[in-house]
Amino acid sequence: MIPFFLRVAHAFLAKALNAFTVLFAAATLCFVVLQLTPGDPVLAILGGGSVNATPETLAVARHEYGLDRPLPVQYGLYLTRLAQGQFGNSFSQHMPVVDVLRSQAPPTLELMAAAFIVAWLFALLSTVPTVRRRWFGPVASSLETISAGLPPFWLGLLLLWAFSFEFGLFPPAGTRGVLSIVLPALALGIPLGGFLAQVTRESFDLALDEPCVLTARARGMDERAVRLRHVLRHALLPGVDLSAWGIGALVGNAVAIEMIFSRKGIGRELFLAVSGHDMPLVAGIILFIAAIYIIAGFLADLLRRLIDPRLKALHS
Amino acid sequence: MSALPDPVLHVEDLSVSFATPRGHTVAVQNLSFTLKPGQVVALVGESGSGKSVTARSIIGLTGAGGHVSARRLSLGDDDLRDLPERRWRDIRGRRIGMVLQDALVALDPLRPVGREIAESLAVHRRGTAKERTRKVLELLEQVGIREPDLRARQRPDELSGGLRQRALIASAIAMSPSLLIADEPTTALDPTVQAQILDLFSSLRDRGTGLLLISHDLGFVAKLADEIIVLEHGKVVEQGPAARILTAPKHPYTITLLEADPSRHPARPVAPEPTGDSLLEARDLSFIRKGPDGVIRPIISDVTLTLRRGRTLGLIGESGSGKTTTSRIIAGLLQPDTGTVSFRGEPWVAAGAQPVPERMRRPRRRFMALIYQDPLSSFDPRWTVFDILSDALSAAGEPKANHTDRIGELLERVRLPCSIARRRPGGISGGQRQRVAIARAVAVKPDLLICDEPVSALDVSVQAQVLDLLEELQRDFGLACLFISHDMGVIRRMCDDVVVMQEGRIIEVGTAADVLIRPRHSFTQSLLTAATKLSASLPVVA
Amino acid sequence: MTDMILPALRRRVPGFIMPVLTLRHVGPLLAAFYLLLLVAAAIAPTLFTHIDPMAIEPRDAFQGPSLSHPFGTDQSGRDVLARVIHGARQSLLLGISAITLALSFATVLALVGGLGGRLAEKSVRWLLDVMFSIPSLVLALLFTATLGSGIVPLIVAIGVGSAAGYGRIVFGQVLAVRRAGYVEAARALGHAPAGIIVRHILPNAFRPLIVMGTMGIGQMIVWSASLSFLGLGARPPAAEWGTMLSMGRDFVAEAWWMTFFPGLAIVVTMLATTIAGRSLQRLIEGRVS
Repeated sequence: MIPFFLRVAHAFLAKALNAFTVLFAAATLCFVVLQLTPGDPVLAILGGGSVNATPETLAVARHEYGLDRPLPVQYGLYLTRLAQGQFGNSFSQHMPVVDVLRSQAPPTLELMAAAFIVAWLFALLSTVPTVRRRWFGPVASSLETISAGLPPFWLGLLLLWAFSFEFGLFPPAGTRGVLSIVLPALALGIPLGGFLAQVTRESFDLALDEPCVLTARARGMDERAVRLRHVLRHALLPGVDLSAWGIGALVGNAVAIEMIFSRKGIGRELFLAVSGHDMPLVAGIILFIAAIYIIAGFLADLLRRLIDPRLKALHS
Repeated sequence: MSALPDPVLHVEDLSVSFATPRGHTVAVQNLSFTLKPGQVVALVGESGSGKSVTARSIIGLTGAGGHVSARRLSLGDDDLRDLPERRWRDIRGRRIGMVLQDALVALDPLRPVGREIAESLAVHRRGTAKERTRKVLELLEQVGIREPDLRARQRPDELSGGLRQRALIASAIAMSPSLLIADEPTTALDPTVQAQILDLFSSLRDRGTGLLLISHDLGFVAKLADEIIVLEHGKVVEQGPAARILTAPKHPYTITLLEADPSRHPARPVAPEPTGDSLLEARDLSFIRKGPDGVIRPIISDVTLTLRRGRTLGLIGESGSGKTTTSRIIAGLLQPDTGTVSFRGEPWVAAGAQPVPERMRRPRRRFMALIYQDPLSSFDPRWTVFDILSDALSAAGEPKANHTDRIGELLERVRLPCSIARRRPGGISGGQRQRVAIARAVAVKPDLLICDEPVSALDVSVQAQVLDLLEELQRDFGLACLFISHDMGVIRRMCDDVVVMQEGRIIEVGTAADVLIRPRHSFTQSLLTAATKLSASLPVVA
Repeated sequence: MTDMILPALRRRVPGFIMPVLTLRHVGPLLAAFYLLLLVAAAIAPTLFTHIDPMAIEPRDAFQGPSLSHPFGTDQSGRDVLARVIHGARQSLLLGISAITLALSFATVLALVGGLGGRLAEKSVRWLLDVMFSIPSLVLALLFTATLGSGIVPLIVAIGVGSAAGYGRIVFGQVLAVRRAGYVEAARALGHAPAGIIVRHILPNAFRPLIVMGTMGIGQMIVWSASLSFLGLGARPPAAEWGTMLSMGRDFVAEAWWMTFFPGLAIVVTMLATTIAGRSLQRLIEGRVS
């Protein structure tokens, strides 16, 4: 029999390898995009088309950034630099990409965490007490379908209009203070919560028919305890699986939300970098997002095994 | 026990109906019985007879849209009719315990069994957490689980079928209820384990618990029941003392049920010693796989068997003994790690560097037909019965023009109405599906029929009809048959020769008469004892 | 007591012959009706409005909803209702093209991975994993960087960006069908692999595509609106829902209707396709079992 720790180590290695290939692919994708993007990267480096650069300065810059080498060499250099943790300098911000990430990532992570909490709160409150209830069930279910269909940026605009401009309850812009995160988190969290609630509702409904639920009832347990202690745990897995995807959706939608609420963050930064052809910054942010995604997947996996210990026996 | 103890449960004219979009359907009608302490009443019936609904209505969990009415429904001195939910919760678990089929899912599969049993105590606020932990261990010991300390910390999927069923029973008797309802408590279990659970129930009965036993299997309840109630479509067709029902049944349905039990059917007449030439030979088959725990172990090893034309070879063993793996290798669906199979005198399967390519097998595949335990999954859900049979006929090279006629013949052969040809398998009953599967199998006019547990998912009376049909077709077409089953009764009835498997190895080979009457291997003996124990009290129909 | 109840219970209400309208049918009917209107508006917007969606009327700028302008007017006095109606064509085309692209891509990957042997299966699994780990919208954003802004780049970006998610589902379906009992049964009958693929695997694996496609149209419209909103779609003042939202954003404090109504059209379209997709699913499943 293979010792337990070896199996765990093996599983961990497999995961790490997978994470590495994902990062590698993301880096490659950025490189390809960089190559395909129209326009001379040197011009972007020197500050866009407005700069009147002489051919000599261009040639010097080109040589300095290794842009006169053959493509495979450039690709190799690019990967080597990334592997050494050198993300380079942002053309548009004139500062190291790492510094941009350091200042812009925390607000986005805070926003995502808040939105994630909103989403799960919504999903659980909307499903656990209402599944298979005569009136509340269909009403909550419709509400979930509608929420899942709301585009976050539109919801954000409406919230902004209603709660900031009409009622003045929350600041319309900025990254300072707890209040400033409420509206963006709701705008991001409610649609995701709708998705989570939909899958949770379905699995909750299925789990209510599990024989162990009948056994629990036959023990004399009341409905609330049955739902919270038995059914809920059985119903959580699809939502947890979807959450990893949800993190990605949150990052993607954060772009528009950060623009609307004029928040600092990597979503907004990514958009500006893409529009400004600031490729080192784009690559840095994309890799950062891929890393978030990998960590989210890792956590989701851990959570799945906590919820369903049988998975531990099956995989790894 | 006094001579005339008060009944634990008194049921008079119990009826249960359900509101459906199409109006009310009656699930149970006018059921009456009394259950005294230390007595066992058995409700027997096939699927849809209303036996489980009865059990649930007695514990107040009839389900959505259910309506229960009764002239009397009382537990001890308490009236159970129109009880508010709060009072029901007090009764459930404390005064009525319930055991369901298959503890793998009837106990919460995500939790250790100890916690489940402790929950039964905690719901009724019995003792402190510490006392409950001690009581859990006591209970586990009481139901015959050794090392209760270890077992309490394991989940149902980490326990064997017998152990987890015992744990489920422990959770049901935790509050020492005076009434225990057991709904098909042994159905998914191997016969040896079934016999042990039966013993456990009888010891509970001896301690004075009233037991309401629900089963589809007359043979199983025969051992234990004082009174038997036979239900068909929600109506009581026969009711009386067990001894009377089993020896002198009056209602034709009861007789059908009794006779349907394959173990009561006369054994297959002893066939003359091997006559036909060998049709299929398997040599030294083994199949090795990495288990879920990462350990490489053989699923089967050194399996060698011979099947002659026109004969039936039974493959017996408990679940996990490698029967299905063997049959899939023989069917050429799974490549073995060692060994060869030859079919109709030509190589069919070979392990190692020079396997027989699928291309070489394909033209000969039609000489071997398969019948699965779950026929539904073996049909394309989009196809009608006609499409399914027509597809099989094309595989046998039958010209399209003849299909309609041939399908009519086939359906008649398996006693299905022609109208079924337009239906999809999803919309017909389990017995009808298995007949369609049989029709598909004989459509290709095979030499060999491989049947993997062909009747174990069916009701007993349907089982009997399907076995009759198989027997008849085998005789008429002179088919050889590889018959896989865990049920000794079915094997005894269908097979000429028998191979017994345990943990992937063949442990005994011989003619059915020899192996089933004079088993040499101790495992075969224990299988047989368990099987006879379950049906011992049934007299053989003359 | 029971003697009186039971005969009444035994008498069943006669089975329905005609499908009866119940509350459950209201949603699907409304959805179908809306989608019909939407298609009509896409084909012939003038059936619904005679106002030119591009006509500037500076005097009427920033008018709130009124009888003459039910959805109000924008900063140049253009009628928002007319613009929403005329936007239907763009949005519907966008949604349908993007989902077609996404599903085609997903299907090709799933087929290669599901039927191309062990190596292909592993590669496709890896590729889908990698693609899936970059969020669709971010991927789409990257694509627009290379392709530039405009309708066609938008379709490509959204279609390819969301292909991985659909690819996972279709791939899983192909694998599940490949292992199904009926595929083995067909093999055991001696059918050749090509026949099994055509007769069993393809139809069963792609049955959910209809449902996914229907639901996906709405989802694609939402996603493309996100990119249009960022200025990566049609250029203002085009009458396209996402672009209109993008234009309304700057005036949300003064003219909420400029944002509200185009967004409402997107939400209702998404809801309608979701409901229609679910009904289709029920229909298909009901036919099979």
